[in-house]
Amino acid sequence: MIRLENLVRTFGTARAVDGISLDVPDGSIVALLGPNGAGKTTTVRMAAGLIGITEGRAWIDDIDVVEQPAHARARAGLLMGEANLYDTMTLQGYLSFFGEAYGLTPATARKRAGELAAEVGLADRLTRKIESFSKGMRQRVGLARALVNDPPALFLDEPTSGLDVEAAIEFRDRIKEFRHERRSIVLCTHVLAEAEELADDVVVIQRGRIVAHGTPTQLKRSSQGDQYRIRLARSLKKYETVFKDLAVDDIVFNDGVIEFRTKDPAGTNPEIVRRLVAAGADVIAVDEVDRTLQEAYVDIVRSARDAG
Amino acid sequence: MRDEIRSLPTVPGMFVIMRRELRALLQDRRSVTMMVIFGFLLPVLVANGAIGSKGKPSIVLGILTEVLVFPYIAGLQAALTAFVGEREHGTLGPLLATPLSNVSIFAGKLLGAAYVPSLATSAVGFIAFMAFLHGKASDPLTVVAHATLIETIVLSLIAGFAMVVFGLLLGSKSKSVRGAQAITAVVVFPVIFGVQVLAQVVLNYSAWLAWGVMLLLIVAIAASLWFSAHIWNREEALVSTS
Repeated sequence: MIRLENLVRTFGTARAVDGISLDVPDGSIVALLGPNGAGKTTTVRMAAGLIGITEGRAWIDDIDVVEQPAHARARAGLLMGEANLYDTMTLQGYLSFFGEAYGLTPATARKRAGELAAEVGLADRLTRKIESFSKGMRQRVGLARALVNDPPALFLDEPTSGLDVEAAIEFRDRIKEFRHERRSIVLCTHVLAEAEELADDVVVIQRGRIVAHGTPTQLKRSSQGDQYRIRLARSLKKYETVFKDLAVDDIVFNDGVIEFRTKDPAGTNPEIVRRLVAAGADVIAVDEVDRTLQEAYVDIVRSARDAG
Repeated sequence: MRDEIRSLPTVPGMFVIMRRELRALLQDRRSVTMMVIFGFLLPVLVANGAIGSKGKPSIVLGILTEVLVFPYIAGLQAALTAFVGEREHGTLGPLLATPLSNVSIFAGKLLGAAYVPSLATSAVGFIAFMAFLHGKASDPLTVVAHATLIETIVLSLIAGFAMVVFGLLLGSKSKSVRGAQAITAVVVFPVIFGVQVLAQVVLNYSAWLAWGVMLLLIVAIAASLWFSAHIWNREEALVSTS
């Protein structure tokens, strides 16, 4: 369990993080989204006990990060962007070194290195130097390193950045498995499809504050209502009159396809269809338009920016 | 597995880091070459030059200080690579995410990358120098009083330590290893020159004066270490790597 309570971090007079609260239960993934400089990485670094917390509190597996940062770090695994490895070391030497840094005996650390190499599919590379590894393999080494201490909490900051499609899919599959291992995961990403695929909860941060929080499905529902599409057999000349006095927004009419948004589809949509039929239109289909998380995210970020 | 994970106390944590630094150093061809040059070639070459002095104590002592102090130049370069270089390449981040304390990481790197290899190279160089001159006209054991010889060795040791600490203090704020190395040039030359002057002071004037300077240097080293360990922190290292 990761718990953040009203986290604040200032750098000089700037508030990089401004009152972020968050719960990440065991076995769940929370995605932190936001533009560059929104405060995602600073939030993760505070939560993982890497940097100081100006105000607020954080707990990893019930260990207070402010009071016991070293103990908190011992319960966390971290992969920040590129893996940043010691290239001249062998995979075994590298993972054993980090095992020892987490307090394992040299023999246990060596054994753990072998287990982890097998877990990330690099067992046959154990004695090779890391400098010979591909980008995807390096990222897997970074993941193995983050798992050295078998952490109940994982912080993954853009873990698939720079990976090719196949490697990114593999990596995401592995992240999904962490859920079954009852780990709490915070995932920072700019890949919205990744967040949509993996996250149980999505948090959008802007200027250090949470501007939206919910499941991907909840976030995809716009505050302006869901979007619908009506397909007609042929174009209608005066479609505006069909929508007169109805609670709809963002009406777009294009070559026999009408798109609109409404907060009351049960009341509004049948009335629109009735009016269309009365106006002589042949209605072929009425569909709900699926918004992607990316579209929802862009709306949220723009609205937050406009709100100042 | 989770039950075996713990935050190591400062000293065991320091040894974990120190061992890695030493291994990395021995795997690096440039560092090994420098150690061979400073630990064997240079002492033999300068010893050969000292023979030409026909046993003049001042020249023998001057050359001995070079043999003893020069390895610390390589130590300083290695220390800068361990601190500034790792920050430059972003490899410090994962290390800082472990439960190791700042002091463990700082001291482990300083000892493993700089002091232990420098001290070992300096000792090997000293042995090579003495062995080469043994029984010859310039044998330090015969041309220089033993007390003066010991004082010069201690002086060189302290000067070497001072060079690394002061260089690190000045260079660690740099954002690149090249920048750091350029900055440290202002430390290396005064220390080498200073130690030679002090060796002559020990030989020709008062040993007490040299001991006084050494005491001051020790205080300065302690203060610089304390200051370096405190200004070197996770946040700065992380901000620099982000």
